[in-house]
Amino acid sequence: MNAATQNRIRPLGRGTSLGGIAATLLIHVSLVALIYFAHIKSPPPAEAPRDMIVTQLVALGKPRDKFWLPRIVQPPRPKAPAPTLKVTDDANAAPAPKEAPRPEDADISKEMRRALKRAQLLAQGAEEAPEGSLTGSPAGTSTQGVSGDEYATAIFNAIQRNWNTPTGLITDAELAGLSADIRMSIREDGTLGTPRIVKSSGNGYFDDSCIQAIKATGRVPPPPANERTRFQHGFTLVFDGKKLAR
Amino acid sequence: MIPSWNVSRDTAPRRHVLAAGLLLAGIALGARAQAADKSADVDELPRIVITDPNRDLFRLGLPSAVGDADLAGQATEIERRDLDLVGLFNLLKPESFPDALNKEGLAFSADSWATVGAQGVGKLRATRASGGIVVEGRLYQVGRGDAPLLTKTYHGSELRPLVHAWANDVIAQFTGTPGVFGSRIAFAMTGRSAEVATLGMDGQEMQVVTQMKSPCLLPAFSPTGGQIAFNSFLRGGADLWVVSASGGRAHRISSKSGLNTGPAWFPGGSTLIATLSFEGNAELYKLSASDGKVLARLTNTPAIDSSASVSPGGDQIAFVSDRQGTPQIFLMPSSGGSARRLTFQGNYNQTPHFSPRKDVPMIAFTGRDERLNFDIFLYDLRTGKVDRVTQNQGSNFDPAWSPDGRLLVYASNRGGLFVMNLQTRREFHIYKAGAKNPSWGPPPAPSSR
Repeated sequence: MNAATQNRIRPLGRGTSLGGIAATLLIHVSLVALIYFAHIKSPPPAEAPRDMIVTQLVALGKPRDKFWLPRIVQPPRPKAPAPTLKVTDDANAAPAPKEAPRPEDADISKEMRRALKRAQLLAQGAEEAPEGSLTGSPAGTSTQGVSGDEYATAIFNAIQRNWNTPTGLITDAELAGLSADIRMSIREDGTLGTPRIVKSSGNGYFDDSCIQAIKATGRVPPPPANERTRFQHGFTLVFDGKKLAR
Repeated sequence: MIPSWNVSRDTAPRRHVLAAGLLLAGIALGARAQAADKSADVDELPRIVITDPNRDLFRLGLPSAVGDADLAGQATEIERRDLDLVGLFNLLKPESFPDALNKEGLAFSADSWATVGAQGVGKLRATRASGGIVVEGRLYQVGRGDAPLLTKTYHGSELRPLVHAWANDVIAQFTGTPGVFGSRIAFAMTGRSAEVATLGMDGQEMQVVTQMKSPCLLPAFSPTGGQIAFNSFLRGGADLWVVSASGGRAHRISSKSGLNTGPAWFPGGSTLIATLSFEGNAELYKLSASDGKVLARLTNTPAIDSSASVSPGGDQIAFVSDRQGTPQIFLMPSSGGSARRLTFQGNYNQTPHFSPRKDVPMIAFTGRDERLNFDIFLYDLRTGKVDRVTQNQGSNFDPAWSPDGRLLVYASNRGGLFVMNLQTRREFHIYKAGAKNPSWGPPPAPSSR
């Protein structure tokens, strides 16, 4: 072997460039980093923010008698042909037998009696007992809520009940134009966090009434498991002075 | 030359490799940052909209005043009556206050007051000092710290006006417009005596201002509050008289043949409008307030025109006419001319009275409903809508506005005079003896601090 050949086949580590190794390593690390950050660790496409929809369930009412429900009208059964009237010239002929009274339709008359009684009571000013779900609202807009929005409805119901605006200090006309945004959170057990006004209505009494409503409520039903983090992180309550119900 | 493995010494390729590595790392980090930015763009919190607020009165705590015992007791009574009567507040029952709150003096602990449900607290101290009376007031609002929103001190010789001044300032603090406690209401007494009397708007300090010894009707406070025009039958006919608001000898300003009735003042107080019938039919005329001289005839119809009220700007007149069959409210320019019918519901509408607020042009009037009950109604000149104010509370008549346009006073067959806050519709019975035809005087002079 000549010296040049020996020189070419000498083992690595002796006389090998450390810079080359470092460059190789750097390239590999960079590639790995590129793949890691650009693909593996890139966040999933963010879900567009969606406002909670407060769903006021309509009061469906307790089940009604079948009598009040729409019915398919059955065509009447063909009646048996009426006996033809026989006229006789015989003056001494026996009189025709009297027709027996028809039996009353027990079902219909019972329901009719009940309906008449109810109409009579209403005419006398009696009020019908409220019907429907205890959690429903007379101002209901829907018969079913989207999953997840039901919790927003629970929050609405809990806080709206405690929201009182001072009649003497805010006129009805002023109230309809006021709105305030309050930032707050809900703990795992439903306890309301400290409210913070992030957008004032411009009316101190209105803003105060919003804060008081939250403090008076204190606690709402615990958030559902899949929404817990979201509500712990915080959300915005928009207090709007408009009257929408009825 | 034989190429060498020892390329480490050649720095040019190493630089290229490093640059490439950094570039790749930069791209990776850039991609991550971009993704993070996108995430920040959508990091908005969910929103839940709460609508349909309930309506309630502002809950005000008024603990007993402190200071000289006799003055403090009276001050407490005057303050509570004023701030109840104005109809803006729900006064918390003092008996619900724990001892600690009653012993606070003028200090304030928001947390303690929150426990009794107060949203605001008013405190007074009334003492005698250097020959006069000193009233100190503090107003606090729960939820806005322990410092007072309002601190006032009043000096004077009488307690009632000082506490009224405090009540007016409290109302101003809450609504932006001061109250009108200290103003007076003139009315015609009914019963054994039928003189003209005046009454503080809190229903206290009634004073009879005429001594006509004959039925007096339809008193009308002058715009400055110094005089009261009224009708009296002292000389047999329905004549027009004027008396000082503080009482004294009345002087007759119009005694033409027939009717001389229904006086109403134009702004400025130098002219009046009244119904006269000396020309054969009851028409509206403009008169000089000093001598009753006729300045102009404002209506000319075969019907009866009466019960005029002048708008706060003095440019319009509301009145009653039966020119279309039944008594209805009409509106015409104050110089006369064509009149526009305002009321079409009901067949007996009368006693119109203009609101003093130019920004909220309204007319209050008495209307008879289908059950033949008289009640108070409002006509909104902007919309033409009629709003019923009283209902199922006996018969109510002769509405007159407070000078701030916040309250109405009216007579009732329930006895005496009532005041109602038109915003909250809270009614307060201010005077229980026989009274009719109330007329509200001007606001008191601003209080001195």
